[in-house]
Amino acid sequence: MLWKEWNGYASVRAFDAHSESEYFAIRNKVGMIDVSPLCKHEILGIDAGVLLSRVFSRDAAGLAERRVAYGLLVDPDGYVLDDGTCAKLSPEHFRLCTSARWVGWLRRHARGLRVKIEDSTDRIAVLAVQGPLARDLLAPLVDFELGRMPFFRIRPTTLAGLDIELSRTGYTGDLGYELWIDAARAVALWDVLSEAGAPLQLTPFGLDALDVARIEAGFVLAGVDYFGAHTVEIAAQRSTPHELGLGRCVELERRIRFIGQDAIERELVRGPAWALVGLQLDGAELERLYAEHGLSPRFGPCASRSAVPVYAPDGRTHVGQATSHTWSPILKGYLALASVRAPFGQLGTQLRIEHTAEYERRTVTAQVVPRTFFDPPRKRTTRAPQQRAT
Amino acid sequence: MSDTVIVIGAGHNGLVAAALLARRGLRVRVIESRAVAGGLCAGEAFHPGYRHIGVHHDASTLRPWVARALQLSTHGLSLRPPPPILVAGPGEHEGWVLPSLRGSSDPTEALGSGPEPSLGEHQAGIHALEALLTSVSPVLQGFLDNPAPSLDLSTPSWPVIQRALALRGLGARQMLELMRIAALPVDDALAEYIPAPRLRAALALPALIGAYMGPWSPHSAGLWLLQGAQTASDVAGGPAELSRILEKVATHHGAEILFEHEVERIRIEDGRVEGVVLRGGDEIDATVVVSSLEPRRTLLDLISPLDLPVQLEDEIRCHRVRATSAKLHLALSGLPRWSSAEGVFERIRVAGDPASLERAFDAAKHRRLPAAPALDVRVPTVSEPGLAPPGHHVASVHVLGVPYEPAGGWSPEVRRRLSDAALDQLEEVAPGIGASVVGIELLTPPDLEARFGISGGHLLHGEAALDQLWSLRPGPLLSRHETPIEGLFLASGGIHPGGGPSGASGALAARAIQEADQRRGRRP
Amino acid sequence: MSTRYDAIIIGGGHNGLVCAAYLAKAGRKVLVLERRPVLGGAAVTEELHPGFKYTVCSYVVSLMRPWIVRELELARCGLQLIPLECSFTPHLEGPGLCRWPDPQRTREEIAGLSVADAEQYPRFGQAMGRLARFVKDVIDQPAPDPASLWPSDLGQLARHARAFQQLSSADALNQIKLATMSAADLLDEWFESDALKAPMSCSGIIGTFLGVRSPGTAAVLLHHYMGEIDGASRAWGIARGGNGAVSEAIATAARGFGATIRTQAAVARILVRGGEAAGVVLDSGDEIEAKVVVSAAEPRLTFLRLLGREHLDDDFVARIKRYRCRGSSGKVNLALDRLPSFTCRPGDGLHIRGDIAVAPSIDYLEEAYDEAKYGAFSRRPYLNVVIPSLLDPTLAPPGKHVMSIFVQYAPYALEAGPSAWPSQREAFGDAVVQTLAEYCPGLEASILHRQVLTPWDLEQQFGLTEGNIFHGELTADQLLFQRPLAGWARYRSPVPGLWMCASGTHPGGGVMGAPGGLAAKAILSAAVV
Repeated sequence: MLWKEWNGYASVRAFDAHSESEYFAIRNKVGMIDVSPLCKHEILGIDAGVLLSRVFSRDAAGLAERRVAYGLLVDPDGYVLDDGTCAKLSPEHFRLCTSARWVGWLRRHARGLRVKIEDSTDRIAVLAVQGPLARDLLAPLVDFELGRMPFFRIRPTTLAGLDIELSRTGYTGDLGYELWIDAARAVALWDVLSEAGAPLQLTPFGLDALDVARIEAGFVLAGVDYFGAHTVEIAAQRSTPHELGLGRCVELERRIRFIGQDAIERELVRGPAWALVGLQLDGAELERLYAEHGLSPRFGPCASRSAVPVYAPDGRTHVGQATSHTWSPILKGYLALASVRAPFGQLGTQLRIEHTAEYERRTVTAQVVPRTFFDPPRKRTTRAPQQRAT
Repeated sequence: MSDTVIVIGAGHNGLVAAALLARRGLRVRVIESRAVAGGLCAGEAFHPGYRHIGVHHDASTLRPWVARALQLSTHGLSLRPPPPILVAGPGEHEGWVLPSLRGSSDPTEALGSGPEPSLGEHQAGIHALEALLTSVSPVLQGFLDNPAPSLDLSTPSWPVIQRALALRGLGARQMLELMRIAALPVDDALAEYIPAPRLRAALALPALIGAYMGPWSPHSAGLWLLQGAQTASDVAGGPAELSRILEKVATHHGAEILFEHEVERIRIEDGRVEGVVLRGGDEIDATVVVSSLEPRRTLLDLISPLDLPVQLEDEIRCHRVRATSAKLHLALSGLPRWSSAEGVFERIRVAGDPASLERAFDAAKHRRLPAAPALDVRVPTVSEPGLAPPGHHVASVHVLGVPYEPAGGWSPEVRRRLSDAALDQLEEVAPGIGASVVGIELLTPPDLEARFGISGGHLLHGEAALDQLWSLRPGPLLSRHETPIEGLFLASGGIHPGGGPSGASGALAARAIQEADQRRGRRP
Repeated sequence: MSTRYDAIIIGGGHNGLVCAAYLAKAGRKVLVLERRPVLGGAAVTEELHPGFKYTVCSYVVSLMRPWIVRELELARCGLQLIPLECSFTPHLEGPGLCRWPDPQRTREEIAGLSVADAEQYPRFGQAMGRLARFVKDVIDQPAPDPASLWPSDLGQLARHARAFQQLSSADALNQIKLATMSAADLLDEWFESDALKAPMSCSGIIGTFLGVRSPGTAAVLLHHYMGEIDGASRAWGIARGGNGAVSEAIATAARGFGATIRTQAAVARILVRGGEAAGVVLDSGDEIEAKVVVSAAEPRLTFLRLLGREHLDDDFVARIKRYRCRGSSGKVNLALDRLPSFTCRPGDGLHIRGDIAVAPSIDYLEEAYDEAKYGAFSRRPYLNVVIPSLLDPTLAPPGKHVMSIFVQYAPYALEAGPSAWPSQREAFGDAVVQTLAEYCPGLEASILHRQVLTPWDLEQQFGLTEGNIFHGELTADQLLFQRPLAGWARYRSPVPGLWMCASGTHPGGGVMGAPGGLAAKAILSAAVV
């Protein structure tokens, strides 16, 4: 078992020496991961929606009940602080889930608002159940028609006598759910699911497998693909939402303007300077590279967070960096998420990416492709559960 | 689009702004919550038959360029040399009489009369200090009399370059001396010229009123230099007369003053000012609102939190307003007799020595009452007998060393202990004064806060400090009088160039409005 | 002695030794003369009680410059720095506060005081780190001169201006605030918990005669973060063998390059011939000639005692007399027969393997300062404690320990005069021990030996004028181009051939070595030897 520190908790990287089987469980069966170290904030009160609208790039005040929205926290200069989800559990109860803690930030912007803010990171545990059989696993256990639950919704339910909130959200880009429960009951929930999941070969998985899946899904990771503006050492390390390709998470038409909105609107006029794109490395070139040394490409089961430079088609002009890259077992190709200077971020552009084979640094063609490499319809469709989903 | 400009507060800065704007032909309505104009400069009866000349009792910081811009002399403003200052000591102590150390004088000021300065062996030292002040004042005035530059240094800033060149123009030696001295504690700086501790304490005293500093605090010498540079000619009649004249000038140019009306809220829509809402519900539309109120009050009390950009809130919350003085007004049945000198004195300082000045600051810091508060005294009846019944006098006293609130609060007993401490100090240097007191008004910082709407009861609308000066008063977003909220301007002493009766903030605000209008192509 | 040296260094403190090493490395014939029997000045280790090695004065290595460590190969010469494990602030009630290198552990600790502060803490550190990077350039070069119109000086100013311009507007504003505010006021803008702000503010007052509410102390806070940005060579730690080992390593390097070092060789005065420095005269009467004399002693001592005012013009004399050296600190070194146990976190643990600060609140610190202003030592002082034997067992016998206590405030100028210090020494030591013992009862019973150093002792024994540990206060008017005086901030003196190279020159005090190194480079590029 391999461990890793995450927000002060010891988190599993892999249950086994190789995380491949965990990855395949996510893509072919159903897997379960403890993502409790995510930072959670409960915002309660009449003005809860107002507060969140002030700080979140999505219009939280306009969110329907039981809806979840993925968006960004932005600083007044328009640079991303963090990304995460905002869930409206009820008109006076929102939950903000992010990678870092933001209680102070929320309090600072709550002046004059009737809200109560709680850091619920340690009080609420979260289990993510992800994979094509996720619905099959959970549907019999919950007290409502799970098949009809749309994408990005949340609702309270009871699972084997345990009170939980269930959201159709996740970080794997696949069909999946997240179960939110009081930390004291989390182990009980794990046990229930383990038992119920045995016939479906429910597999616990760790952060290594998750990393591969999320890259395939095109999801950015704070601290890897971008740096929160409050953490950077130099100004150039900051990113705006559009530079991260997350313009769709920025809602400009709204009653309450959010922090950073002015700066983002100004940026739209001149255009973002960077683009966060998906890169698909040329498989044939990769093979030839290794073949020169008499080797075949052998990529481990782990994604890599060692950033490598990306060059213009001339192979020399440095235009950006690939911050997350991985071999995708399901797509059988080498993928990367990269930040490149905007002119080089057009779909179809053939860039060059550094790749080291047998200690030799070379470059390989990398084509700019849509970032969501893997996006199966089952991720968002609703239907009744079947015996074996594809 | 309404042509009305609303000025909130008819304090002296509000009146200056109102007068300048009205003169341009704008329709100006000044909203004043009290029954009189002038704010901290308003002269009032504090005891039946006795009037003071304002909570600020010294208008020699009125900037000459402001007076000229409003042609105040044609409206009755009369200037005179500031009266000399008695350094009062106990017993038959040697009583020095100080001249007013100042950066400039107005050529139109009348010739002076009154007690001669008497400095004994410190004559040369005082002259050297005067020479220092005279040589650096033009440069310092350049900082104070012009708008604060933007701190956006991505493009070269001509105002910053101008100031840097002016500084360099002093010559290498003088420039380095200025930089060296400005960083020193005022007592250390003065000690290079004046060996007598009691004389130094008296010299340092006025710079400490309004600063959260004692004479041994670094940078207090810089504040002393700035205050000296701002000091010009005295206004006959003091701040009270200045207020009266400003009110007259403003209404002469067409401004309308609504007394006993209070602004409850500034209406803002889509980041733009739309008008004000008065207590009682009346609304006045306007696209330009100038608030001369202390800036924390303007931004945190008069603007709905949802309309206040967070950066503005952050900036104003860093604006420190810790008061260290109270104001005491005494109605006296006779002229005080100072044991240290014969003669009639209008200005007196009771400062002890630097250690006792520092102890007074310690008391304020630790929320205790000062055992020996330092006193800055003015007896305005010396030049204006009409302020009191015949033969009677008024003493206006800044009491230094007073916390906003002592631990345990301001009970009547604690208030009396403070008044007594001040009176004991006075009795030591003017025996018999205690018996001549027929009326007292004590204004503690909370009293000042409640009566004049100034956060913390701070007379300068914010501490004097090197980091609350110029482009940092109160900060990069607010120091240029125009705020990021379109149509909202600030004209208080809490904005560059600072507090006290100078009129500069009001004048620079009016100028900022004019420039904003020109940028938008409205009105010349 | 008739040998003529290229350079004589007066004083074998760490800066003097660095200067000697660089000059010797460049092939010059160098002699170092140290008055005491041990080298190191205030960076010295002495075995005052058998088996117990006290790092007598300075006790942490703050910012030994990485370029000096590299260029003099000090690691090879025996310099080994052991990082402090944490910063512990015990309290009389509650668990106290510990700040660790691990940000998560620190976050949990601070969250116990304030959740908002726990979030702000790393941000403050990052903001300070960015500013420290900006300032670092300034300390590794000779001071910029704002009055000079020489192209090279203007170029240097322009570089600094450009670097400032490149700061984000938030960072630029922070830089201005840091240069003008008090430590307490600056921390008030970031944090709400007094128990957190108090220990943080202390870095702003070390070695100054100022309180945490005094303007100008925020700038010194930055000093603390400079250590963070030396990257891999970061050095907030203790030297193995005590701070004397730092000096010994530098001395080893210097000797390795050919320098001669003599102890118990006190210099009585500087020889001046034809208006130029020509060598020194020892207490013994011996004259030693040199082309260049470099003083590693404090500036006032150098000019008024060793040189003599007859060689200086009146203006310079008046100005150097104004150079402020008011000592404000003392030191108590203890030999303990067992570890102290802190009531709020009993027993042994990582928490006592760092620095331990008695700084419960801002008011407490300010009261300590206030007392000293009027000529009395603080009855309830600020203490910064390190138990170096926990990190370096060579300093004490097994199971026993040495404890180094830095104390503020202890004013040199007592109300009864500085010479009253010897009669107050023990009372001072008692106040220190009693204050600390409030947090770890049982301390007093464990003391085997005690050394108390008052500012008077620091002056008498270590040549620190008025007991000021930095050879002159680190206030804005005595820093950068004004250290020690405007116009004389580039290591030269008005007397040709006489140079300065210690903490009384840019960039100032602390165990940095930078003044010594920069002075040597200035001497070499002046080509006078």
